[in-house]
Amino acid sequence: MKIFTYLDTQNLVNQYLVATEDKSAILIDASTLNEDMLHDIEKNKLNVSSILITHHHSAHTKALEKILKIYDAAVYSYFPSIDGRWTIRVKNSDVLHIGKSDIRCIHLPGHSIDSMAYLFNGYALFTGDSLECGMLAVTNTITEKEILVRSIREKVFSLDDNTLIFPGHGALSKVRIEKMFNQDILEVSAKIFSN
Amino acid sequence: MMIEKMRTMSIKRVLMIPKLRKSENIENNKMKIPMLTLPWRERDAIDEIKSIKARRMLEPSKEIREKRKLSIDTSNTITPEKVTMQPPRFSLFSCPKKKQSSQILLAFLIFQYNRAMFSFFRCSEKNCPSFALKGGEKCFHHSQNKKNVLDLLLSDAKENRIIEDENLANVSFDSVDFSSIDIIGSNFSFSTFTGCTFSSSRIVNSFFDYAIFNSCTFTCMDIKSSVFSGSMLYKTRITDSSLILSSFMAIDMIASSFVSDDLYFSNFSLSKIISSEFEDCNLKRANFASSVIRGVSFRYSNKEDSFFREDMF
Repeated sequence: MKIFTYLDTQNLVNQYLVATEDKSAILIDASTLNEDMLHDIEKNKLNVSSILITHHHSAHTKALEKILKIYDAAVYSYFPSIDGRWTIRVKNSDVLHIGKSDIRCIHLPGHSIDSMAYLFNGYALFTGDSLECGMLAVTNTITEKEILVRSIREKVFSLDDNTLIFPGHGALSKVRIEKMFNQDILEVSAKIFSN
Repeated sequence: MMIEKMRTMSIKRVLMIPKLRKSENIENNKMKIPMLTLPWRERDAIDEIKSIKARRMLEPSKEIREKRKLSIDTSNTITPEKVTMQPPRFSLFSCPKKKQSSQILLAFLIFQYNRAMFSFFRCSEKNCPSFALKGGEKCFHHSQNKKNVLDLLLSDAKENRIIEDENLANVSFDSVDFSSIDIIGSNFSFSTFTGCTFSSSRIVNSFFDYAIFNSCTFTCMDIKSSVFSGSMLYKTRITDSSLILSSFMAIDMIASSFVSDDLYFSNFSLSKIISSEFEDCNLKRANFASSVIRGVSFRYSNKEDSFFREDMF
């Protein structure tokens, strides 16, 4: 499995292309369609078979229409439709078998009700906006933040410490780093457990 | 008759008004094509053309390309295959002597960094959580002849000027010269670097978490989206480098210095920074929240643009 990373400079959104051994490619979010990505797809003779949407915010889905004009890919998301287009719905703990990859879907509500994370082959976790390096995504209310922290502690921190985290924004991370140093989680956790 | 005259007058007025407005607009240079009226396909096409134009602006000129070709042709030792293996050099902003706007830099950097890649596999040894060496089945510590493996890796890196998708966690590097060696999508967690030099190269999407840097120097580096969380910098000097979108969470920084660096959007939260200096650095949106800062100089740096807490000093 190879993971290519791309940066959309307009919104500073990370987009990832996962290439499996059988030459099928999976896009994580559809924030940008740039020449480098097209070059990588063509150079490695990849077949973009699927697009996994982490959440419905426009910064992460704005290039979906363009990408689907070029590639006949199945779109997976928590919501049944994204930008008026029907998708294949995924729920928490669903396992997708795309190419030679086993992808576990993890629902992390808080930043958005449909926020999903995707765990590839047990070691690469694509978290979208829910979990970034050292911080949490913006939430509208404190309750939503608490829900997000609870779900991260339950579903993400139970993973192996060396699991790589590929967030929607900013630097990469690992589960061990977030467990020890994520300030938002530490603060909210302290509040939850003090009550 | 009157009615007909009135009609012709009104028609003339209707015809005249837009003409007059048009001429006024031309005089005032206000004539613009409203973008919203274009159909969406045309707008998309315009966006594409704009992006292609922007890319062309970034590409080297014909003269430079020809010079490069000549330099490759004249050298007999480098085969075309090896030339293609070498990464594109990053000379335009490799040594930012002066503070530069990071947002402008980012637009240029995307051209160079977009193809960072990972291909990690777990070590085949039972219960080993580490990732395997590139092209191998076992991690560094479960490989049979560690010294030979390391020597081979470093000689390969010096020859190809790149370390890509490599897993060298928990390895000690003593007085190794990483100059002009790009480190891309690699893992150096828990490693120890003593007296190492990094200069004029790129570090992209790489992990140096919990690493120890003792008496190391970083000069003219382009470091992007890399992780130094939990690491320790002791007597380490980082100069003339850009460290955009990198994480320095919970680092122990002692007697070390950042000089003339671009630290845009870097995260230093929960860190312990003692007897160190940030001199002439761009600290816009850098995060120092919940850090312990003692005896630190921020001379000539835009400290006010970063996130601090008042009770830290």
